[in-house]
Amino acid sequence: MRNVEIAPYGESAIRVVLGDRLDWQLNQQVHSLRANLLTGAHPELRDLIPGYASLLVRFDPLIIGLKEVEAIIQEALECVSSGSEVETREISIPVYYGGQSGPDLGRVAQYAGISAEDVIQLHASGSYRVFIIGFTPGFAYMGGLPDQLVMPRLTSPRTAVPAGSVGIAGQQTGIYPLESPGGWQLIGWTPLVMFDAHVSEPCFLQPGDMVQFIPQNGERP
Amino acid sequence: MSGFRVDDSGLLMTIQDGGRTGWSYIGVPVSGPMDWFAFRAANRLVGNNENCAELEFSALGSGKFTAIGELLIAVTGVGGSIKVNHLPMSFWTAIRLHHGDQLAITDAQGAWCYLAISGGVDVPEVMGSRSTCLMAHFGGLEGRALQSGDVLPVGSTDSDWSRLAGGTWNLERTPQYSQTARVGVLPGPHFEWLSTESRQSLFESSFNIDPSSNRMGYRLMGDKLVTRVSNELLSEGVVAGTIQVPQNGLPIILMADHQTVGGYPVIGIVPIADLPIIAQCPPNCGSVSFYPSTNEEAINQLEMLHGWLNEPLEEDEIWSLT
Repeated sequence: MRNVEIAPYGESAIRVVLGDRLDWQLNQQVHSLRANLLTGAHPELRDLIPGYASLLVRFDPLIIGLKEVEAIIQEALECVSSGSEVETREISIPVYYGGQSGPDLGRVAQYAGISAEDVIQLHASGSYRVFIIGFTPGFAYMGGLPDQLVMPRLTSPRTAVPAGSVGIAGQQTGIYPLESPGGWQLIGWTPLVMFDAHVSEPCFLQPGDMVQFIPQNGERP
Repeated sequence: MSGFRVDDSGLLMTIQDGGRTGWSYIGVPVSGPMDWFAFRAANRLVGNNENCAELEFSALGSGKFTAIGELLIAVTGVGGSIKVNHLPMSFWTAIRLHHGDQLAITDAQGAWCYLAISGGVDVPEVMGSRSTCLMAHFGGLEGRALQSGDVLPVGSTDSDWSRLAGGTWNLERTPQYSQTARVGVLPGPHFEWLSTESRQSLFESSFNIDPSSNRMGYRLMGDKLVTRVSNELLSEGVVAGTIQVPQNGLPIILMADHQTVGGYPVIGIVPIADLPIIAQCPPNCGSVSFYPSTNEEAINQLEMLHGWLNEPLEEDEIWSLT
């Protein structure tokens, strides 16, 4: 692989940078690298933290040296595909748009100069890649928002955004997995539980998933 | 069944074990203790595995408890007043408690105290850990800070209390806690983004810990650090000890509950061996200064601290209280 940067990050981590732009193929390589390292089953590697185009590999420096970890990473990189052969999950997320579920839908429509129905149609027509999950447990950052819907965050964030809220900010769309303060424009709500620490797969989405939003009719549950 | 009741939870008291590793990829922090050394030493004093669940509580408030059944406990941290039924005791010492005994920790120094109980705090594991994730409300006790009135069970143990009771830690074998903390910095990926003046400020001035600091990160007050501006920085993984510099120039050192990814420039990383020192730097009155360190130095320090944690508690340091 070309132009991969591998460098120490403190004494107990190595930072692997695969690129410097928001690009789903680069991102897929990050997840492929992480999967390869996991398959290799190295207990000395404590954590593998994916970024948009990078992977941070945390290790125990008292039981493995930097050079050894670099060698493991190099080997895993050799098996990283260009992105097309790796299996991607396709996930559908049911969304109740507008009304109480999406209090900012009107504002987004106005900003874009289109109708609320058009906003829904545009948002639901997209196919969004989960680039990373972070900032809070289960918060999936999804790229691929249609240009027309690109919009800044609220100037005054809400103190409490309900769990399940579907929002947009900048070029991204996302779902709040937990109630938290938030500044995203809320256009809908999903009844799906995005994060539950008490089940075996705590997070509904995984990095690398391709997500589609399915508008729901009628009353929300 | 043994346990204890919390009578005063002070400013912030949570259950923490060694931490929750392997879940960063879904945004779940490691959590665990702010001062991993004091945490592990406390467990060792009471014969626990070093990752057993303990109570961590802010040194700024107090911690008061009533024993239920027979317990062997130890309190570690920078120091302070510790009393059992109004009788003065010592930090870093294994103490026998009898049913109904009242334990009070007040006027503590530093920022965090640790209460280890032989057998560990017996709450269910969530995602493989008993640590509390305050952000997502899970783990520890119902995912929340402890309050007065909470009653917690203690696990069973077969460690030898008669041998452990009265054992004290050699205080020369602890990190260099200080109100004027001195901490190493390993260069971060964006260290070169710092202006020349700011690199000087980083290593030649001192910073205070902003009172808004918390388990997610410590904000530093002092000379503002100027970095190259970029809107293009892609969010990437970070660790406890990562030093970020946002646009406002006030550095943040990420701590135990830190978010798993960040988009600010990373100018440096505090070595693991120095995390206890920075963790115990009290808000406002404490200050921290930095010096440039190397991976080799950082690993040597870490090996030393690990060595101290794994030394057998010497027989001649153990004396009987009762």
